[in-house]
Amino acid sequence: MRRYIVRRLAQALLVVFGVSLVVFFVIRLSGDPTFLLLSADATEADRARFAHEQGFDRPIHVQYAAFVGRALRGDLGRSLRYRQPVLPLVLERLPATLELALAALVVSLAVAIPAGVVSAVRRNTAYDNLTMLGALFGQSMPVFWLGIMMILIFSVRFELLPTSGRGGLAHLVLPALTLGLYSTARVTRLVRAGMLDVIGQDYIRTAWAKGLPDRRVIFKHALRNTLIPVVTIVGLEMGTLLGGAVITETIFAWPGLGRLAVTAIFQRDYPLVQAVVLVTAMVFAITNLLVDLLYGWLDPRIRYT
Amino acid sequence: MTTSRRAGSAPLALVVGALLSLLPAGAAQAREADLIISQKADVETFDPSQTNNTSTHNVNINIFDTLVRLSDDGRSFVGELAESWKLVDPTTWQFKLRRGVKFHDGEELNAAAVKFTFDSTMDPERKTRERPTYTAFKEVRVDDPYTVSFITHRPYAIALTQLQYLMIVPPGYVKQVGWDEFGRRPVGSGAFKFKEWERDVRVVLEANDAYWKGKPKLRTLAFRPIPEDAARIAAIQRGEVDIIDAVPYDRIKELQGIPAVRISQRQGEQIYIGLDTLRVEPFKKREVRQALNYAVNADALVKSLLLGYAVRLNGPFFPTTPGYDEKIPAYPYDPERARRMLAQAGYPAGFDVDFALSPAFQGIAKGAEVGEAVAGQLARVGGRVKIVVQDSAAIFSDYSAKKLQMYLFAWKSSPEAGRHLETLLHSKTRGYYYQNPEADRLIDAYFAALDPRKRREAGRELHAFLREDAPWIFLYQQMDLFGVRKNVTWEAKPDYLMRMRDVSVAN
Repeated sequence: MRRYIVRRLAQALLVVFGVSLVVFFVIRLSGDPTFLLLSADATEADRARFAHEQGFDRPIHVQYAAFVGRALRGDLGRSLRYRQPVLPLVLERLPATLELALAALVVSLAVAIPAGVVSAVRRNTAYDNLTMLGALFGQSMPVFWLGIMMILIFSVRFELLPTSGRGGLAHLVLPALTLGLYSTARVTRLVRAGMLDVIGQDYIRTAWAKGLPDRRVIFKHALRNTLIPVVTIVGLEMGTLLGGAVITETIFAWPGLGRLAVTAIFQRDYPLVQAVVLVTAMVFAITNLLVDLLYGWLDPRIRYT
Repeated sequence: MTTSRRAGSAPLALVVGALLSLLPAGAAQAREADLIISQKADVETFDPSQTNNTSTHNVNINIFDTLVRLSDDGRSFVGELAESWKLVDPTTWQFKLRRGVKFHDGEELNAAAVKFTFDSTMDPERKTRERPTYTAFKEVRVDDPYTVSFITHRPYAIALTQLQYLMIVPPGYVKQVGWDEFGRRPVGSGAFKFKEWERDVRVVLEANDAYWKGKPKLRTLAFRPIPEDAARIAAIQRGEVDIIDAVPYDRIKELQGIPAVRISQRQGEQIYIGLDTLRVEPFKKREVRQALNYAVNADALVKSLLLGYAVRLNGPFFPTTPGYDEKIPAYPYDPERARRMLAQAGYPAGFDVDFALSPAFQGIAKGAEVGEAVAGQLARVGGRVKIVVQDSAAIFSDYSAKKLQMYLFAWKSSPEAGRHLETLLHSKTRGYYYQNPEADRLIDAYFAALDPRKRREAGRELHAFLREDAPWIFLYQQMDLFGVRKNVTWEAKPDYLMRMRDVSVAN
């Protein structure tokens, strides 16, 4: 078990390294930050000097080697725009993003699991059809549209919730609903499909034949066996929520990683983009590891070697 | 079926109920300040030497003071920390400072602080982003505790224009806490003191009652960044914020429909279409460039796409640039004449060109629509225009790599000075796409003319020349639009800064 975790962490580091390589080159080859960073009337000489000071004029592989060397010592550089070390900039936004992603996940699981279970149990009833129709809508609605609609309805029209920003719990509701809806739809469909699969199995028929109460059969026997694919998807979903929060965070002015990343990319703030991507990749890798460990808990037959 | 319904909706109702019960039922949010401004972007750093970002300047100008500021009509300068100034010789600008001005921590603002601000901005070790703004200056000299001289490398007519953004910082505090900390917790001499900053959420400032110009009317002032236009408009509609910046043109009507909100405007960026007159064969000919100016219906763009919120330009001069000549006619829309001129210049069958644009580039309003409209108008005279859409950083790379053939660009910096004429059209500064010895000569003369009357004359000559030589397709100066709650007295100003010291809010 411990060896398994160590190996997985080593793999994660490899992935993060690969990601850093791609990001480093792509962001540098796709645009010049000096115009965006210096004032409009900076001369050619000003820009050349700035590029030199930042080391942009060195061959790109030399820059990368220097970056890796510093990164191994825990120094990811300073933001070109915020003029502060990048790692604290990224880490101070992590709580906001995690808060939003977790809230969205809670919303989606709280709705999706019961809805999916009932849909499967009452298959082909009006309830089932309605739920699936809702899921279809949930998956097809673009996040930015949904977010703006949420603001217009709940903040502007009914004045129930603040339009944007981060503060108390009230600020969390709309972004969490917006972000959670897509996952809700996906997970509902998955739970329904999984349940249908399991309900058809012999052991469920046996359970029913034994005269166990519905609730016990459905939740203890069927749902538990449905959860394995659900956990997998939830793990991936968590990644999507962390990364997919970009749009939601921008619409609701939520001070998270996604918003930081978007701004950094548009401004070609190289060190900051690198740091955001590395941290996100780490979080993603760790989430996946946790998911894999959850399997063993859910299904004792799974062994880690 | 009824049972299933109950089973399905019970948990759902539970969750929704739990969430709603936690809310302050429709209660108005506690406001963090007397006045809240929402801009698209948050502060980058409070260290003025390390940023040239407008949203950041708008916050900093309330914390710091400058030597001079642009007058409200945008045509002259008014003293701030400087009580008076004079040109003692062609390269020495001497300022007499207001006495008794103190930074928020009690440190005195004197000539040494001004020199420290300049020197630290130009210090190569610090790699500041604002250094390029002040490269015309050789040094700053302290003449006595309240007299300070800025010495330029050569006679430089627009010294004040450059200095209007130099925000004076306290040497003692900076040395004590270091620049990083200063960038997070600033101390200035301005009308408001720094209180708190939660990154990407809010900046809160409080009144500096010892301000040299008298107590500001607002007790507290906050800035809340909201990047999404729709959310920013929703926030002002709800009254969560009082002023919003960067109102997009396609939402003017929406904003006008909100009874408690008005629109404030100021002249903003000059929008032009640059032409590569050095490498693209047809554009090397002046007749072709003029023909393009006749072929583009800029008045129609202003009227239909910008809903009239723009001023048609008759050349590269802004109406506030010294020497701007309103008697020079803008190129009229005349496709027939354009076709004729193109044929005479040797292009009866038209020409091919790539047209680079970045839809939200440097605040260009409706960039994509303007680009498409221009491409359509040029097609009518035989231009086969291929639109290439890029993001800002990419278009800038191609721009400096001299890869663009034709590009939609904007200039947004100190329009009153005409600095852009030197930066964009002089062969020695940014001769990427246009070089002309005659233009160089006229520009040099214009920037060396220190006497305002001579400067205006030199400007008129330059303006007329550039209009004829047509290095660009001249378009318009667009308006920057702000949404303002009607109980707030603020108006947008031509220096692009949001000074809130005189602003008040009625109840």
